[in-house]
This record gives sequence, C-alpha cells and structure tokens, in this order.
Amino acid sequence: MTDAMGVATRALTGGADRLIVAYEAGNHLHRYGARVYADGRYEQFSTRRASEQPEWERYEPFGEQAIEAIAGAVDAALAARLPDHISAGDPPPPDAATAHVTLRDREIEIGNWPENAPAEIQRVLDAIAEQRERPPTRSTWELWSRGAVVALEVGCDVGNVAVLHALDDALFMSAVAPGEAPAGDDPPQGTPLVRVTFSGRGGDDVLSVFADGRRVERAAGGETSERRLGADQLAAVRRALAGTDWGALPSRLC
Amino acid sequence: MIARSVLWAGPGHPAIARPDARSLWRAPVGSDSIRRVTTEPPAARETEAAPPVEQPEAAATPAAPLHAGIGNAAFGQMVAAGLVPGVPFGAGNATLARMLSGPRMLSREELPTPAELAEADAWAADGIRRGTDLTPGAPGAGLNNAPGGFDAEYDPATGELVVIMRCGVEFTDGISRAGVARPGLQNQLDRANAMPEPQRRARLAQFRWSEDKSDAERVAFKSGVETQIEAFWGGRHEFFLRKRGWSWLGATVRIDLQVADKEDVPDAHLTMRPVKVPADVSLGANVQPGQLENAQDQVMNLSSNLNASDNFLNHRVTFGVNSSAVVGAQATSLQQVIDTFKGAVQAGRPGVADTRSIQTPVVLTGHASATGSPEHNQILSEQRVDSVADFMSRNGFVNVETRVGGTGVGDTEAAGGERAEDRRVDIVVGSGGSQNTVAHEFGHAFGLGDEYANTPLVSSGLGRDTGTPQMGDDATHDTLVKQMVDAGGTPLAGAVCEPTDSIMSVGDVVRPQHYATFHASLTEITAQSPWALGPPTGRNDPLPGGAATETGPGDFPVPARGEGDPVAV
Repeated sequence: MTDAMGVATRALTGGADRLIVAYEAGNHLHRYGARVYADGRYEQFSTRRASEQPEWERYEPFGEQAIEAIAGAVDAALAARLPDHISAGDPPPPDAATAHVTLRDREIEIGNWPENAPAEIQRVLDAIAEQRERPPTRSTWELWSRGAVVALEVGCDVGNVAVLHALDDALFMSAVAPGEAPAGDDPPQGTPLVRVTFSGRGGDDVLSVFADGRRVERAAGGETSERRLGADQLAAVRRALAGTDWGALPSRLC
Repeated sequence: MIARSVLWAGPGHPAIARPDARSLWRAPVGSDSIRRVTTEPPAARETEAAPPVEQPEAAATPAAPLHAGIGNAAFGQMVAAGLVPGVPFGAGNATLARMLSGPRMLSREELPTPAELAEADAWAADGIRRGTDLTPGAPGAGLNNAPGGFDAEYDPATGELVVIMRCGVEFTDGISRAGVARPGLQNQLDRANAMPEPQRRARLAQFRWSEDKSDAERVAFKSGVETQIEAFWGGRHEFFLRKRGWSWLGATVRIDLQVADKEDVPDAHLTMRPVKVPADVSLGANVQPGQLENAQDQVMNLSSNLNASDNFLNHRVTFGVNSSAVVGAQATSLQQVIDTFKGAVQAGRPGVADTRSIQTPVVLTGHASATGSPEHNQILSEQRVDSVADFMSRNGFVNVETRVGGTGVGDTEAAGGERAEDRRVDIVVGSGGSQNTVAHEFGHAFGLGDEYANTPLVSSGLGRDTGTPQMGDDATHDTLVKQMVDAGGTPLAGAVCEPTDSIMSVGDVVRPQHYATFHASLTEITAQSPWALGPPTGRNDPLPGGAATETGPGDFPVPARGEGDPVAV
C-alpha cells in the first residue's frame, strides 16, 4: 500500500493488534474502509477527500464466533492465491475507484472497485456484513382496521414482512408520494390509528400515530416526543391501513 | 487599512498583463523593490490603454491594445460603463469580436462573394440537421476513454445546437429493506443498527427510495438533474462556421436532458443509478462508459445528493508568531499544493509548461493576528505572501511570475487575540470553486475524459493501471480538442491531465476544450467545417483574424452571461 491509501493500515498489522482483514477503497471523491482484528476490534472510516488520513472509528467488537467466520473467509481468499494487483481494465473507466485489501499480511490492489473484486474478496466483505447483522427486534403492530383494533405480532425484522412495507414506509420515510386519504371511520379519541411497540433489550419503544396527525414516540427510558405529520404522510398512513384487510391475517406474521 | 497587491517578476520577467479579469500586478521577487499596488484599478488602467474605436463594423479596425491585454469580462465591464469610445452601449459579442479581429484594412478578396453567400443560404434553407446515437468521444485514446452518447440537432435558422440525452434512472437503495448496504455504506448501517428501533427504522428509510414513481424525492431527483446539468453545461461557448460567406451561421449550445424512470426510456443513452443516501452521507461517483461505438450503454453511478461537491482549490499555510517563515509541517503542506497544482510540463523540460497546460492562476492572501500594531501586521501579512510565493518559486511551481499574485490584508480579518489560524496565507487556485460531482460525471457522459492527475492532493499514489491519469498524460479528448479552432482559425493546443480548476479536472470551470465532443457532433451532423469558437459574424463580414492564440487554451470569446452566472473561463 502506498501513501494515504495505506499508511494507517500497514502500521497496525503486527503484534498484539494482529490484523485479520482491512480494506480501503474509493477515488478522489470519496474513500471508505474497515478493518477487523483478531481480538474482535472492528473499525471503519469514511471520508470525502483522498488526501485526508482516515479517521478510524471503533464499532461494537465482534465476538469469537464472528471472528472465526471472518477469519475463515480470509483464509479461503488467501488460499485462492489471488494476484497482488488486479487491473482496472483496458481502458479503465473514468473515476474508477481503487481498493487496497489486506488479508492478514498479504496486500492486494484492485482497480475498478468493486466491479473487479474477486469473488473470494467479496465473500470476505459479505462475511463481515453477515456478522454485523442486528438480531431482529420483536414488535407488536396494533392497527385500526375496519372499525376495530387488530394486533399483529412480528418476530422478525419488519423489512422481511412484505405486507407491512407500505405502512413501514408511511411511518418512517421522510418523503412520501402525494395522494388522497381514503374515506373511512376514525378510531375513538385516544386510540391511535397505528401503535407499534418495539421490544428491545432496554425495554419497549412505542410509536403511535393518531387520526389528528399526532406522531408520538415514547422511548424505553420513558422520554416522550411528539410531532405532527404532514397531510401527505398522514394520508399515506391511512392508505396503507386501508390497503389491507388486517383482520384477515394471522396474528403472528413471522 | 488599504489592501495591497504584491506581484512577482524577477529580473528578465517583466510584468505581464494576462488577458483575464484576474490580471495580476507583478514586481521583482525576493528583492527590496517589491511593488505594492492597490487592487482597485483594473478597469481604469485598462481603459487608459484603449484608444478610440472609430471603424464601422464592416471594416473594423479595432483596438489592438485592447485584445492584447483585456479579457471579455473586463472589456464587457468597460463597455457597460461607457468607457470605450466608439462602442455603443449594449454592443454584443459579435460586434466586439469583429472590432477585435485585427487592426488592418480589408481587401475586397476577404469579403464574401454573392456566390458564397448564396451557397450558404441554400445550405441553411435545407433546415435542421440531425444525428442520433452519436459517440463523439470514441476517437479519443488513453486512460478513461468515454465515447459519450447522445443525439444532436442543429438548426441554421435559430443558430442552435441542441444536445439531446435521454437518461433512464434506476433508483438504487443505499441500504436495502433487507438490511444490505451498498459498498461504502456498511458503516452507516452499523451506526443505524446501534439506534433504538424507531430511530433506526427512520434512519434506514433515508437510504431507500420510495417504490412509488410519483414520490417527491424521485421526481425531484429527475427534475433536478435536468435543471442542474442543462444550466451547467449549456451556453458556455459557441461556434460559428469559419468559411467565407458562411460565418454568419452560428451555433449556441443547448443541452436537453430527458430524464425518466429507466423502464420508461428503453432507448436511453445513459443509465443513471443514484444510490439513495441522506444529505449528510457522501458517496463516490463514476461512469462506466460501455462500448466505444454504443451510444446507449453508458452507466453513471452516483449518489442521490445532486449537490454533492468537493473543493480542492482552497488551501492555507500558517505561521509562527511574528514569523513569515514557511517551515516544518507547513512546508510539507505547501509542497503538496505545489506538486498538485504546479501544472503539466513538457517531457524532459522541467519548469517548462506543457503547451496544453491551463496554467491556472493562484491568488495568495496574507493575514496576521490582531496582536501588534496594524501597521506592523500589514507588513507582516505581505511578508507572509512574499514568503509563500518565494517558496513556490524555489520548489517547483511552474511560472510563478506569471501565475501567482497576492495581497496582504494585515489583521483586518483577524478574530482577535493571538490565534494560530489568523497567522496564515490563503491560497486560492483558479476559480476556487467546488466541483459538483454530477456535473463532472456528465462530462464523461458527453464523451470527455478526466483531466486530473495522480498528485499529493488528488488520488495520491495511484497509477495508470488503476485508472488514475498521471501528470502530463494526454486527456482522452486531446485529439478532439486539437481539431477545434479559435475564432481566428488557429487550432487549440489540446488537453492535458493536471489538477486545475477545470470541470474535468478538480474544479468548476467549463473551458472551450470541454465542448470538444459537442464540436465534433456539430461537425458530423452538419458535414461542415471548420466550426470555430466564437460568435457568428455579420452576414457580409470577413472572417475574424486570429488573435486569440496568445491567451492560451482556456481563453476564448464566450457568450455573454448574466451577473452571478458560473465562471466560464
């Protein structure tokens, strides 16, 4: 590795700070990277300028099993005897990104990243990403539907439940498509259109949206915040509610 | 406190007035006779040099001293102010160009003949010329070659070249609903995963496009690309047909982007893949140029943030208390600026600029902290400017005497007290402007290559085999640029890779060379040449003389633009 693209990584590859894998990638517009150590340390950086030294930021460390999985992918990549340098192509595309990947003590330069990344390298990155996956947060969705509250249990990540996608977007996306709200009855005062209870390690986070547009969040620690939804966003929530016969679904979605 | 300018020119380097509004005053460097001149007088000084212009348009005998030393901007200001006798208020570029075309008497042979005019009339009467799926960048060579891909139309009646590019957008989530991050965004996913679930969901939603095609962000992206790129790339330069009797035929350039969802544009020239990110997240961009002869297989990877930009052109050096010495880490830092912006040199001739080099000017502004007397601080700030210029001169910056100027402002901008950041020299390279990432990438989509180079402050340490040009490499559009001519018929020098304020380098300036693929398209679809840079002449006018070559590759007549418009040369 050379100059700004590699100094920080190379300095930390030996001794007690034994490096398993590191990469730095980008072009003159943006650079990013990550590195994983045998003791579980996990650091990343992202910067706009090629001339800036990376400011490595520590993230929650990996456990032993995760390190084993990542190390296994790294060793598989080492066994593949990849070349030290992979060309960006002939001719290389404009503004191609370049990556410098360190597998234990082996350094590989890859032009036209990530398009030209060998499958073995991609598997290392996938292994890191897989080990970062957050355990699903269980949630309960209480929805005003056709004159009654329907409660649905979700034991997986909401992103995996297709029937909730429209409502998830209406609740959490900052911009929604404009549109009319469908006609329908509102719940009694004090009953929200939607109440979602996320059961986290520290307690329950509760989000409620009321027919008058109030959006109330109560954090696990008890703090409450309230804001008012715009007309388009409230209409999107109503459309999402009206688009599904929630009472016809099984009470546990996953 | 009056701001002063300090200029440098050693013995044998007489002061040179660049034909540019940013003209600099110069005096011997490192000597006791540094000339300090107030920065006020460009227009007045230039006006004094301008003699009355009395010739009628058809037989212009214009102001030789004017075109020897004054750029369009300065001259335009002078005209607007009524400072140029003989030039009517509101005179356009065409009139001015004709006036500047050469101090000589015309012979009858130089005037168009009735037969030539009739031939041009007949050609123009045939109406609009069209070309579809053009790849004007294909003849380029070298690193990063991009063929471009667009349609083009030229209408002789309106004198307009319209570059039409259909863009199909594939909206791409930065982090998918399933929680998979695109390259470069894993850290953002990890950060979001550490948040409580409601905040996490809200944060991750910012990395996703709505699936609804009428979603406001999707609509804003498409219209934003059209508005931004059409304004940025259109109307910066114009052409005229440099043939006797035909030179009244001009071609302004208008960009017509037609941006829609990919599925609605099956014949798109460019596929855009904007990766959705919040405004506080940066992501790189590039263009996959596709096959050289295929006008419809380009792909642009970019972020959803159309305002993403980077500034490479502003730097600073700081000093010790009451010191003007450039030492230690500051010397290292300044050396990086020098090595990045010194300009391309001729092979085997260090210090001699490549004829294609932009030779971007550099402006230094010296500052002092608020401690001490104002008089002393003024002198100190000027000494700091001198010191930086001297360091640049001794450490490889090419043509310091003609490119570098400066001013000391004393402590007039100091915050108070003894602050390190007040003891500095600001270094502004060229326009000093930020480069909009999307505007740069569209240059590739139009068929231009990169003009930046591997230097300490740009893509440091990367070689050609990774796709990074080296200082002095030919830009891929070099050959196309050499096929362009100025108003006088002189070919442009070409395009070379070096960090400058050019849009295809690391800045924001659209120079004539960046119209090379538009020029090639105009030539192709009209089957006429040469289309020269500059405004058209009057119908019965002779061809303009060749006066512009002395100003270098970047300085040619440009269309009049309103105040506040982006800089174009």
